[in-house]
Amino acid sequence: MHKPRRLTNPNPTGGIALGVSFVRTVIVFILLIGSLRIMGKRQLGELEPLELVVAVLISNLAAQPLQDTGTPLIYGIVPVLTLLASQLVISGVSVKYGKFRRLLSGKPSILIDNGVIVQSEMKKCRLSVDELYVELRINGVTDISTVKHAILETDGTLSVLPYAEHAPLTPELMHIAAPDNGLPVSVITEGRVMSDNLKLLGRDEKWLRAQVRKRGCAEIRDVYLMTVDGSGKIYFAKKEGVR
Amino acid sequence: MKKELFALALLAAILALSLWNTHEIEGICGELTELVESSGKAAESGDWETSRERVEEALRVWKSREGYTHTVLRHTDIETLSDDFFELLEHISTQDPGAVQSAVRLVTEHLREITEMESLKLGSIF
Repeated sequence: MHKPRRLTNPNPTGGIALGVSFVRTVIVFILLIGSLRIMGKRQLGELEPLELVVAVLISNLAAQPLQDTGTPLIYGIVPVLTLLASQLVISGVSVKYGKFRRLLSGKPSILIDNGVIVQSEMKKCRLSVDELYVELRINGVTDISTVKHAILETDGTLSVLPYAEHAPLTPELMHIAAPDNGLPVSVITEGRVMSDNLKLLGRDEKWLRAQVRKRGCAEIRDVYLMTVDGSGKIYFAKKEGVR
Repeated sequence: MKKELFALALLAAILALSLWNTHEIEGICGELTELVESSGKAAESGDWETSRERVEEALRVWKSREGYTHTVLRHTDIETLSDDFFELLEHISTQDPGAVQSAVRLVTEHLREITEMESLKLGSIF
């Protein structure tokens, strides 16, 4: 007498298949974007709904055939490619059509308008006053009366615009000419010479060695970090333990 | 826009590949089911030689598509079906009509399950 055995998935309508995998991926992708939109901006953590869905799903989808060697790799490849292609198509369409973009990502919410907390918008975003305070403190604001506008962006971050009298002082406001030193570039990182950056500055290794020796280091390998900006200003840090 | 068009083409290609795969699996399973069922009929009429030849032919077809089936089917399902064929051959060699009929039913049932797994139906999607 032979023992009757069943296939891996005894439920014939619950098995895995290429077409099923493809359609399921598209459905779950759309469903997750919709869910994230309903959940609100605060859940997003600095990612747009579309980006978050792809980031969350891809790792899980790719991991399944890696963990179960009995599952063909194609069941990892097909959903990942489907997700990537869907993301590309949807983000392309959203760039072209503003209405679609608003549907997909929502629109920024003005939580403080001309110094007044918009309570209806706070309610809509499911944000408490305490949470608003947390976000303001993260932005370096401790006194809410100094805020003219606070906007909850579509990726869940809060943009804070203070009143002019509380805005940070800038050289422009002080009518002072500020020198533009350009972007500092690293020329030595953890004892290694960044030749491309050195070339970009129009300097050579001979000059670099001289600068290193001038700062009390015998060898380049003893330098932890050295940066040079457009005006020639140097930041220099020796490796710990080097005399 | 080129990127988006490429992505759309990729989605269309995946869908086409999926549909082709469903069709291909249906074709393989259909051919195997026919061979196994005719083997069962031959065994019923006492023609054990034809019955064995049909199963051997089915096994040959199944093995010849191994490269493809290993790419799209769960490996455990492939092994189960291969074992089913060998078990059927065993029963044919012992010329036990009852055991052969039940082994034929098992093989055809497994082939039907594979076909259903691969077909795009609402039930398999949700």
